[in-house]
Amino acid sequence: MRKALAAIVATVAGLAILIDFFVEHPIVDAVGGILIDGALIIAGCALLLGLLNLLAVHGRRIQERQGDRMLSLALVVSLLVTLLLGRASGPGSTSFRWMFQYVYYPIQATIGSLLAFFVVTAAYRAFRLHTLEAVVLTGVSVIVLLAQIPGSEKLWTYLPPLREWIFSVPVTSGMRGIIMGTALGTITTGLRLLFWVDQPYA
Amino acid sequence: MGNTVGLLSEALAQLPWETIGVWVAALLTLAVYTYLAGSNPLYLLVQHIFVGMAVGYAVVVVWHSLLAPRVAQFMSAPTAYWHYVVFLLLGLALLSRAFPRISWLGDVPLAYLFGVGAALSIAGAIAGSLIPQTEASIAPLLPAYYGSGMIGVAYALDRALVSLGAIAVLAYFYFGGKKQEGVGRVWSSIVGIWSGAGRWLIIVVFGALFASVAVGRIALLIGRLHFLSSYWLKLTGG
Amino acid sequence: MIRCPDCGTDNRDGSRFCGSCGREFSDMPDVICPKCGAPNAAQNVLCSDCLAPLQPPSQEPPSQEPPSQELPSQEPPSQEPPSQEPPSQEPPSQEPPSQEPPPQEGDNAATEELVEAPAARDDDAALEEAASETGELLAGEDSVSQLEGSASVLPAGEEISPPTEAGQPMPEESSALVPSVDLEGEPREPLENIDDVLPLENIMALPHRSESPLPRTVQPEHEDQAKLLSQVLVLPRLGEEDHRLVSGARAAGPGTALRIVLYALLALAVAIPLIRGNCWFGTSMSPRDSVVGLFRAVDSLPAGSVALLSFDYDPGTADELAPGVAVLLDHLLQKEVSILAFSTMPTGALLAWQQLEQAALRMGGLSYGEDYLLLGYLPGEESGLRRIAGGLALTFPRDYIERREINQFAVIRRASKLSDIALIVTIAGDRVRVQRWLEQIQAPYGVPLVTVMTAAAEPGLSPYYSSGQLLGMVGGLPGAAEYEALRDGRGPASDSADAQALAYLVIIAAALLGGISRLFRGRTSKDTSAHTRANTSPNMRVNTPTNRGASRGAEAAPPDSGE
Repeated sequence: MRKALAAIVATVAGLAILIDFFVEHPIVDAVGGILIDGALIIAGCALLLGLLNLLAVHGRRIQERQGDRMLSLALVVSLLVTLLLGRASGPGSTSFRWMFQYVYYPIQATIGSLLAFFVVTAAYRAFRLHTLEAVVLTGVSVIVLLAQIPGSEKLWTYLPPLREWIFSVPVTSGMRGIIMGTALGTITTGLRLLFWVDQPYA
Repeated sequence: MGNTVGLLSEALAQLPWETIGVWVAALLTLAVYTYLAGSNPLYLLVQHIFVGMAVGYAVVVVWHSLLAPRVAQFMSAPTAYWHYVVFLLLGLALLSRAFPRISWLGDVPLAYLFGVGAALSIAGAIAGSLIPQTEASIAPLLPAYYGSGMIGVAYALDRALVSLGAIAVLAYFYFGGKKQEGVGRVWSSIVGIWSGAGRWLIIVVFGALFASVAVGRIALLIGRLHFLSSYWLKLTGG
Repeated sequence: MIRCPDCGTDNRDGSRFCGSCGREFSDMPDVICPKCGAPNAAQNVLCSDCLAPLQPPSQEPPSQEPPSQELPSQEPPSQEPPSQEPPSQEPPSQEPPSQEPPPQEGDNAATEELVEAPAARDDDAALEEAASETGELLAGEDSVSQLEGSASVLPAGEEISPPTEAGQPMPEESSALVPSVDLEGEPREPLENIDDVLPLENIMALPHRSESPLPRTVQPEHEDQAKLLSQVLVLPRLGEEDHRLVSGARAAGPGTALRIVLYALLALAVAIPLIRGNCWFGTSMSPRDSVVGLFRAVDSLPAGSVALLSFDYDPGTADELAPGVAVLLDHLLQKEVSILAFSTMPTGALLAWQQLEQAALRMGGLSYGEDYLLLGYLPGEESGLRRIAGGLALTFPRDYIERREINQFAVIRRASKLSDIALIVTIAGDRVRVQRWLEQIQAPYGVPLVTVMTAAAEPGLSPYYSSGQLLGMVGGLPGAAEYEALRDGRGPASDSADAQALAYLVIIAAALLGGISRLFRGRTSKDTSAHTRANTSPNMRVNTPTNRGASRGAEAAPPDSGE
C-alpha cells in the first residue's frame, strides 16, 4: 500500500510537470508552479536530513570514543558554530562573511588547487605511447595545451586555428554523439521511474 | 556584566580583522598543502572543520533564502499560501529517513522528488539536448552555401564531418565498432568502419578533455599562489 | 544426494532444482540436521530448528542473484587483447580458496561471462585503457575531491538514500578500491552510464529491481558460476597494503623523488612568473570564436536592459572563474545594464556578493537595488530553474543582503519575468550546471544565454555553442584573458599568462617524459598497469580458470619504484 501510494505520487507529479513543460495554459502553469514550489521546499528539507545524518554519524563516534573522535568533535563544533553564528547574526553579517572569506573559501579553494599537482603526476603516469590510440590522445592534449599558451602562433602559425578546428569539428561531433546518447538514456531512465519499472524511492 | 561585554565587543571590533583573516587563510592554505606529502592529522583536522562548516553554512542559507521567507508568506496570507504548509510537512516527513523504524514516512516525499526530477530531466533532455542537437546535425552540404571556392568546400566538409561524426559515435555505442553478423557484408563493413571512426572521435574528445581539465586545475593553483604571494607575503602589488 | 521424485535423477545436496527435469525441490525435506535430527528443505543452509550448519562451508548453495543482471551498466574491465602482451599475474592475496571446480571446457567461457560485462570487446582494449586513464585523470589521483563531493552532496541529504538504477545493486564498498572519484559533479568519464543506453528495448526489458527470477533448469556450469560468484562475494576486503599493490596507482606512477621534483617544478613554474610579473610570453592572444560571441552578446545590450546572472560555482572553482566574472561585470555595468544575481549553490550567493561589491567599487556610483540586486540562493537544481520561469519575484520573496520585500527594488520591477530579461549569464563550475540552464530555460523560453565557465567544461559545451543554443562562452583563465584583450584592457587573467604558459609546459613535459620513459622500459609498466587496472575495476576480475592458466607462465612485473 505504501509503495503503491509512493509510486502513484511519483507518477502523478511527474506527469503533471511534463504536461506543464510542454503545454501553455494558465491553469496548467499554476498547478505546475505549485508542484515546483513543493519540490523546492522538500529539497530544502532534504538538506536538513543531511545535517541530521552528519550529526548522528559523528555524534556516535564521539560518544563511543572511537579512534578519530577528535576529528569528529572538530567537525561537530565547526558545524554548530556556523549554525549558531548564521542564525544569530544572519548570513549577511560581517562575522559570517569573515568566516566564509578567510576560513571556508581558502580551504575549499586549496583543496581544488591540489588537483593541479595530481594532473602533472597523472600526465606522467597515464600517457603511455604504446598504442596508436594513446599517441593520438597524447597528441591532441599536447596541441590543445600548447595552443593555450599566449603567443603560441609564434611557435606555429596554425596552432590556434588547429585548436579551434579540433574543438569545432571532432570534439563537437564526438560530444554531440555523447550528449544525444546521454539524453536518450536520461529519457529512458526517467520513463522507467514514471512507469514504475524502477522505484528507487521505495 | 553589561559593561564588560560592551568593552569586550569594542576591543574585538578594534582588532585588525583583515590581517588576522589573511594569516588564518594562509595558514589554512598551507595546512591543506601538507596533503601533498601524504594524509596527515593536520590536513584531516582542516578537512573535518571544512565539512562541518559546509553543512552548517548550507543549512543557514537554505533557511534564510528558502524556508523562512515561505513560512513568513504563509503566516501573512494562509489562504493564498496553504500549499507551503503541505509541502513543509512532507519535507519534515522526509527527515524520518534518518530513523529506520519510521523511515517509510519518507517514501512519499522522496517519490515526489524523484517524480518531479525525472519529469524535468525527460523534458529537458528532449527539448534542450536531443532535438536541438539533432537539428544542428542536419546541415546543408553544398559548398556554395558557405562561401565561394575552397572556403565553401572546407566549411561544407566540416559540417559533413560533424554530422557524420555524431552518428559514428552513436553507432559505436550501439554496434561496438565491430562488423555485424547476420546482415549483408557491405552493410556490415560500413557499420564496422563507421562505428570504428566513432571510437577514434571519442579518443580525440578524451584528449581535449584532459587538456581542458589541466587548464582548469592550473588556474586554481595560480589563484592560491597569487593569494599567498600578494596578500600574505606581499611579494607583489596584489 | 537428492533424488528427484519425478525422474529419479540424483542431484547433489543443496540443489533447488532437478538438473534433468527442472522440478523444484523446495517442498522436499531432504536434509536432516546432523545436530538435532530435524528435517530441513534441501536448499537450507542452517537448520530451521537449532541453526546448526547443514552443509560444510565449501558447499554453500549458489547465490540467488542472477549474475547476468548485474553486469550491463558496470564498467567493463580493461582487457588487453591476448596477442599484444603477456598476461599479468594476480597478487597472492586474491587467490580464492582451492575449492574451485577443475577447469572445464564449457566453464571457461561461461565463467568469463560471469565477471565480465557483455560489452567488453577485445579490440576495444586500447580504447578502454585510454578511457580509464583519462577517467582517472579527470577524477584526480586521490580521494581529495571526495571531500568536495561530500561537502556538496551532504547538504542535499543524498547519502541517506541514494537512488540506484534498475536492476543494479547498491554500489559495493569494493568500488572504493578504484581511486577515481567524481570531480565537481562531472561524470568520471564522458562515457559513464553510456554503456547499454541503447537499444531502447533492452533497457525497458530490464526487470524490476525487486524481482529476481531464477532459471527453471540449473545446468552444471550455472552451478559452478554461482559457486564462483559466491566465493567472489565472500572474498575478504583487501587491506591497505593489498590495495596499493592491487590498484597500482602508486606502482605505475612516478616514485617519490620524481613526484617531489614534478610538484616543485610546477609550483616554481607558477610562483616565479606571478612574483616577477609577465615578461616571457606576452599577453597577445587571438580570441576564439566563443569568446567573441560572448563579447558581442554583451556589447549589443541596450542601456537600461536587465541581465540575469547565476553564480553557479563554489570556492573550489572560484579562483579560476573570478577574472572572467570581473571583466564581465565591468562590461555589463559600463554598458549601463542592470544586474540581477542569484545562485543555485549555497556558497554561490556569498561569492556573488563579493564580486558585485568589488565591481561596484571599481565602477563607482552604483546603487544597490537600482543597478544590481542579489536575490539569494535557489535550491532544487532543475526544479529551481523551472521556478524562475514562473517569475523572479515569486521565486525570491526577499533579497539576500537587506532582507527587504523584493518588489521594493527598482530593478526587479523592470524585470520580474523571464521575458523581461535581455541576457542570461550562467557562471558555472561544471558543464552540468550550464546544461541545466540550456534544457530548462533556454530551450523552452528562448532567452539568450551565454556562459563563463571552467575550462574543463569547454569540450562538453562545444556542441551547444555550435548549435547556437549558447551565444558565447568564456572558458577559464585563457578565455578570460582573451575577453580582457577584447575589452582593450588587462586584468588578472592576462597578468598570469606566463604562469599559465609555464605550467602547461610542465604538464606537457611530464606527459612526454612518462610516455618516452615507458617506451624505453618496454612492456614492464604495461603489465603492471593492465594487471592492476583489471583488479581495480568494480567487477573485480576473478582468478578464473582461464586467467590462472594463462598467468602461470607469466613473470611477476615489479612495480615501478621510481625513475
